[in-house]
Amino acid sequence: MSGASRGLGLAFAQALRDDGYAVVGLARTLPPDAPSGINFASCDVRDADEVRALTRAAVRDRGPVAICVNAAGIASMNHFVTTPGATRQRIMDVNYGGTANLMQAVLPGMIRARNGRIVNISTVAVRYDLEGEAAYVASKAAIEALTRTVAREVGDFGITVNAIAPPPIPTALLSGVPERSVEQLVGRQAIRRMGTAEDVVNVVRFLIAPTSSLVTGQVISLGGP
Amino acid sequence: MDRLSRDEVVAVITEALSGVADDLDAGWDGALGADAPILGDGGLSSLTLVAAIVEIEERMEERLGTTVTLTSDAFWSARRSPLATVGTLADFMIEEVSRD
Repeated sequence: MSGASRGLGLAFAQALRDDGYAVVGLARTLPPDAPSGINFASCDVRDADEVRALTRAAVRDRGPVAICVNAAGIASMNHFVTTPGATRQRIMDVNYGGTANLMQAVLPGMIRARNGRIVNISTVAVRYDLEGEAAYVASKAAIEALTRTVAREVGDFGITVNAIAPPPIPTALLSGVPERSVEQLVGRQAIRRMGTAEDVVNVVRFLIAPTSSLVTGQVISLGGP
Repeated sequence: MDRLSRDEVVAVITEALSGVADDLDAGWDGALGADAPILGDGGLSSLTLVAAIVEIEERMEERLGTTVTLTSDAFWSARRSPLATVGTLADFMIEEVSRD
């Protein structure tokens, strides 16, 4: 699991630990008070070699990776025209690149096992083409396309690949977004309330369940279409 | 590290290919040896190829204690595809390992 040190990633890690899974949490910065029962490893998901090496180490220590959740992500609110190129690239490298790197690291083992669950994180901002988040939206749209395409490529190996598009959730990622913008965004949803980490955890649990073996290539949008 | 024996590497590759072909019911035309095609006529489908690459990497590590990554730029951009035959793949892997 990437992005495991805070926000949704931390919530996922704690939930799956509580469900009895052996969780390895990758994060660029390790949490100062690391929750017990989760094995954290410092990792820059933009570095494919580092991601691959950590995955191999996790497999050696704990056995095959059965579930992968890509929760690492960054955002930067700005009009597209005034978004620095370096920022635009960094957002793409962390969000899409990090997701792709971890998927490529875990998929060989899942293919060998003929079984696996991959859950990626997109955002409501993609379906609303949210102004002020062009770089972020583009990176998450790339994740959605990757999710659908890879789902087709690995379906015959018993592996499902899905994404969740959460609505605004009170995490550090949202702290830079003006309150009015959040209210407007929530106002466009069918169910007009902010999400909670538990809302998203609920969907992660559904997607990784053995009984969800026919659910793949989906982007599940919370809050409505 | 001692240079890998071509025969050993060919054996690992053919074992992996045979296992994957059986598992995916892909079948195999002709004998599996150094001249057996991996891609192209008489070779693997794209689905079986993916499983085969994964299996070959794993068996190289398990049997010969050697880590080889077959998803590198060097692999896919080589002028002559390492996947032409079992023998060309073995030669590529030996070359890659000797470079490390």
